[in-house]
Amino acid sequence: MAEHERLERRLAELGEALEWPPAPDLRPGVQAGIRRARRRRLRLVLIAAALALALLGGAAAAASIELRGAVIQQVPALPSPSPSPPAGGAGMGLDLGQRQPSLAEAERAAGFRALVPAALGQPDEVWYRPAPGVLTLLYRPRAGLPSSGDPQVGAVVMEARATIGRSSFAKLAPGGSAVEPVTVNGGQGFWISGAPHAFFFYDSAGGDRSDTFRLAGDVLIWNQAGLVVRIESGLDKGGARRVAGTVA
Amino acid sequence: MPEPRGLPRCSGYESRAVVGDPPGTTDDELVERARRGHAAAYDELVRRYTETAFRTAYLVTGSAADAEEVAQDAFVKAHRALSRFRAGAPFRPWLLRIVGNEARNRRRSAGRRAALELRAAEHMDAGAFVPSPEGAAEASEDRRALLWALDQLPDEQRQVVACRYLLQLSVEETAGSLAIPEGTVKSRQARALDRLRELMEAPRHG
Repeated sequence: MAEHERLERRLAELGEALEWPPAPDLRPGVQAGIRRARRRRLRLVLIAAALALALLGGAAAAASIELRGAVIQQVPALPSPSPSPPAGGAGMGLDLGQRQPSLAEAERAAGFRALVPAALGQPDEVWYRPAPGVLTLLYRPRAGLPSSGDPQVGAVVMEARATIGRSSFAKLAPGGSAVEPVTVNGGQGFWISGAPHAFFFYDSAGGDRSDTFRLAGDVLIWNQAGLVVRIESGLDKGGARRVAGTVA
Repeated sequence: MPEPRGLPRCSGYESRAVVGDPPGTTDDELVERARRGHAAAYDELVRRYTETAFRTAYLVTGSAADAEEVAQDAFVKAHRALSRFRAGAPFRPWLLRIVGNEARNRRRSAGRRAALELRAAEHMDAGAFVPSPEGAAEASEDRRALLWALDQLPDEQRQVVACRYLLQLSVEETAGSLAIPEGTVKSRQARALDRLRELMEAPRHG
């Protein structure tokens, strides 16, 4: 036993005499690793949440969830989750100018009080473009408001201090666009259907200003209270007119 | 002379850095604070156990570069697992179990044999270890003989001896690092010591 102890002591001395490779400072690498792991976990949580929402949405749409009986009916395919709008808002890329923190701010910038369609309520986003002075209320898709040509936009209501007339659309490109005169809230207006990808003109105190339609949907445009108001959306003519009827 | 792998070179006597030396705050307190999200507390635990984790990984992988990655990954995994760590349990054995797992995975994926190659004995230099040249030569020869004997052991016994004596790990820590029961640590250790004694007494060949 004494020999074992002596051997153990010699082994311990050997351990002390060994020249180990120097241990590096691991702290920066560990901190970075912890941050990376956190980001990975966050991404997984977000993906799981998106999947859960998609599943719930699909199941609810199929009216097949029954909590007490725990019945979940299989649907043919998972609905794709609504894409979330880009960081700057759903109006990014539509050339709407600057996003405004509130409707009041936008009204201050535009110098006029905005007309709001009561049927749609408060807009999800408000934008203002100084030239040619267009204030935009943006509504994301929701029940009763399908997405327009842009999957993240249900409707844009664009307003400018100007007037329009039949000649405003003289430059509409031929090829299927139809311009139908209508009256909206007592003002002259037009229902423009069929891919209206073209210029039109505002008559305004500052001279005629051209503008383009933003979405691929049909457009209802009319004069009201010194403003030109237009609704671009995926709504049909009846739907657009019903919404327009609540603009005040 | 090929670069030795697995076992550190043996040089003159150096005071082995004391690992886990508590500068005031206990491991328990640091773990508790780290669990609540205090980055500095975990930093301190990393600083405290870097050397032990690195050397343990080095013994298993036989590569300093692998040992660095293994130890770093083990600290990251340990941080993630802190919520499952039993409050009041000793941190070091738990950490070394994670290090051991990581190191074995790394060694397997690298297709390496068990490390601990003992050619390092050729690098021994008694230096200031003993006062006289005769004594230095004697000590150097003794360590050389011991390293040679260690090299003759089967891998599984050699790793136990390395953890227990070269790294000064407890039986529990050795068992955790090598993923074997504590009873196996003790039996392998006993067999290894018997064998080492025989080897040291027998005439040396090679």
